[in-house]
Amino acid sequence: MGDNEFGLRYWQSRRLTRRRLLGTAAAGAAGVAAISLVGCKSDSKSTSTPSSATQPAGKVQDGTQDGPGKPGGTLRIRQGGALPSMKPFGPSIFALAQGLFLGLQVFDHMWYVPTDTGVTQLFLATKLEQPDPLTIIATLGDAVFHDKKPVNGRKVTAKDVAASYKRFREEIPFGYDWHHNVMDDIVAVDDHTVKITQKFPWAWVFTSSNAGNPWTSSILPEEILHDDTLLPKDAIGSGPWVLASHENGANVQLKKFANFRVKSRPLLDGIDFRLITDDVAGLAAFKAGEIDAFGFNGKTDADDTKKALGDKIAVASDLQRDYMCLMLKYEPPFTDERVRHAFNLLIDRDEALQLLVEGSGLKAGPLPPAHKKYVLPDDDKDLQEYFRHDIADAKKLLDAASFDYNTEIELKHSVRPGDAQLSQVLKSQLERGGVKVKLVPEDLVKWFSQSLGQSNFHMTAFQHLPYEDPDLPLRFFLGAEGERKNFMQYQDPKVDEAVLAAAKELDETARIAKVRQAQKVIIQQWAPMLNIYSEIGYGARYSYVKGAITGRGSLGTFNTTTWLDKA
Amino acid sequence: MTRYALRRLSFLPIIVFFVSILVFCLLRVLPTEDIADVLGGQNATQEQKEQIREQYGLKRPIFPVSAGGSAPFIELHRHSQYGDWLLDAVRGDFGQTYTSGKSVREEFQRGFPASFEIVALSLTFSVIFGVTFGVISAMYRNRLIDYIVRIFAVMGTSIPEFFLLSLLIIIPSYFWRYSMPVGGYVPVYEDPWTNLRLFLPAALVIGIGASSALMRLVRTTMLEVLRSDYVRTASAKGLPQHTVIITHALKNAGTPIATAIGTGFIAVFAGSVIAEKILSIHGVGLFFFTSTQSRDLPVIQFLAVYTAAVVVVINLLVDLSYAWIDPRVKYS
Repeated sequence: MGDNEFGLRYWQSRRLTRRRLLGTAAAGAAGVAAISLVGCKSDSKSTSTPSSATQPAGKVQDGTQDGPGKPGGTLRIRQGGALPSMKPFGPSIFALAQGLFLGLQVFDHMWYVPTDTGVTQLFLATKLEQPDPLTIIATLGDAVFHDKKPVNGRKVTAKDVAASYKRFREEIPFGYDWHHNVMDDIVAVDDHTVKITQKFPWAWVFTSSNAGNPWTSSILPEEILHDDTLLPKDAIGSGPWVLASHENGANVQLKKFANFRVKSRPLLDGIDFRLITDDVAGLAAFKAGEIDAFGFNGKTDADDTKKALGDKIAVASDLQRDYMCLMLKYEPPFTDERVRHAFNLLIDRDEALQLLVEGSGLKAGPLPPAHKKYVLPDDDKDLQEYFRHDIADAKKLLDAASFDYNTEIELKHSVRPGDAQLSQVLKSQLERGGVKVKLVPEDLVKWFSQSLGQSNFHMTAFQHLPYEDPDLPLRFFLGAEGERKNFMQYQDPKVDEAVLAAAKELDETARIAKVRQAQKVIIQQWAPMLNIYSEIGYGARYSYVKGAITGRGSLGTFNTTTWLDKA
Repeated sequence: MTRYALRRLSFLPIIVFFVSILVFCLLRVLPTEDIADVLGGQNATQEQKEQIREQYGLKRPIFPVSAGGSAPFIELHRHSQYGDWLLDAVRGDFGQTYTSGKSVREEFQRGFPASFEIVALSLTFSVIFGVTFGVISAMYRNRLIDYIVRIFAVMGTSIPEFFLLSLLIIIPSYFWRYSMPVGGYVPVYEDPWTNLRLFLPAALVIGIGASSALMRLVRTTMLEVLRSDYVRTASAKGLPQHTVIITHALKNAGTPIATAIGTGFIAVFAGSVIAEKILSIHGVGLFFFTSTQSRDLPVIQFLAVYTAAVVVVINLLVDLSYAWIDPRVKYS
């Protein structure tokens, strides 16, 4: 059971940022996420106390806090962009939007691991066993597919599950993908038993970045997996919602699946997604009551809206899992650890928070702060050094490294407002240390596919997508396996060893310790990706929207507890 | 005139042909992202990228004719990217989008009604406001109304449409918590009220913006015409003022106004793209906008050719209108 080759990690997204990558419909999911946003306390089990700035506050809600729900009603949600197709399979980046959208609503899954609890929640699987580190056996409960041709509401079997997983593996993966890199095989032992074997032990196997990915763990009927006539137009699953209609990927309407495996769920009759591409128009629609929930772009919008609507709405906040970073390519001058350390000292994270998100966020270490169980505690010396801002010490380090102050270093960024603003702030901060920086804005597609994707940069600043578990944020630091390196073209055996040790540790308590150790090593080695902050997201729903669940983030739509208390 | 019109229309395929070649060249010559990189993503192997290029026909030669290495130094290709595209286009097949694999023509047909309605309404308002206030401004030259109209015309030209459209959303929302209908295009025959609530305000904004230039042109032209001898004679004969203005003056000012309306159509056409984006109307404009963002070449190619064709037809209609406005104009 030695190490095996596996690919590098990239974007593994369940929910794109509010600022939407490529204008996809993932904001629809974010809109629904607004329903589940309620301020959450720090996890009481964590020994870390999140530092600085504003922290979200409020009670954790599990969907039952509003009492027994009333069935009926249709929830109206904003859809940020039309889905290119209803087909959840490749080409990779263009299947991401609908893959997530449908995976969160129309398709069912064997299990799901919420970020806030880290506890595997069984969905279609009624039992999960791991007789050895390489093998997972899932026993499935009873469920049926939606009553649409050619499936006609038949039972879901283990063969459907196995075939679906294998179908997803046929496509070029979007980012790091467990299906390609870790899964060895998946078979249907019988109608109700699925057996998964892995190439090597993998601690994160059940999480939403791996085998529990809400996109690529979707269960579809076997007979339509290669039906390229049906798949682009319709989606047939066994999830709580049936795809009732759409206007070429826009204005999607979902109806309650009456034969869902959980009786009396979902409570709502349906969900209407209304295409509103513009944020201003979306806010206007929310204020006018045309939609029932909304995700704000910042605290100011949230406060203004609360002032305008008062008790009619409930505003909630939640620490986001996406985070801003400055990535340095591992080539001179950044091959010198002193230079990387110096650049980190030049970054004033508190100032960045104030300027960019009105102070509404938390500083990010090697692991973004939303992963509360796993982040280093505030009193950790390495983390304190990571967050330290000291221009004088930075200059000393640069002088010791014989840094060439006359050379202008390019900082590439996409033209997305968030990335552009971050880059401008970083430029001004680096220039205080005498570093000459030239900003190079690029179109998002070009930046993503060429500059970042081909490691064609000296420095680049951007917003990482939200990752549901610590695996992917750590794997960005992982060096090369085989012919591919990470974006930074960086490899450090100590970092690799620490990250991989965490990924293979099956005992949770020990894994938490190893994840923390990996973060310390990343800091000590000054790995060339400097994380800046994660912001706090604000969302609102009308007060008649009940049954919210906290901390599920983009996966809030899994919950079928939402109901409408309208007279 | 029919022969003239047919002769002008016969140029349409030639113009569209040359535009298509130019656009095709530009899209492939200018530095742009390799579609295999975009579609395949970072994890695609070279082999997979080659398969993508093969699938989208990008490994074929660009043109049917290319320079050869040996005599006769010309190579002919049975299958080429442009040649195959042209043959398919003649049959009405403009290929499939990269992002969704759907037919470009079907996507266009789906979005066309919404775009057509925006453009038609906006142009109507543009003409009504432009001509009406231009005439009023000319009639009451150097009076208060004239100054107001002229200031308004300058503002209309200066203020960007996207700003006005954003205000159109923000102001009603802020003061009255009103929002335009959301949930996509509803044809006027299905729900006239919802349709008008969605399109009328935006069309007004675009139309008023586009009318500014027309207003100024109408004013200038009318001032010239109103000084003419025949207008003075008509007034002296005791004809009512509205008859003098409409029957005599305006008709004689019609030719440059028709030209300006043709130009205004292009402005309205561009403005509708912004309106569709801001108002989330899933029309041709938004389709074009998102396709440009995602480098969907078949769509960009088709829409560039479509736009060229529209401009040619509009110019023809403007030229033909001259004969209707001015009986002295004869096409032979």
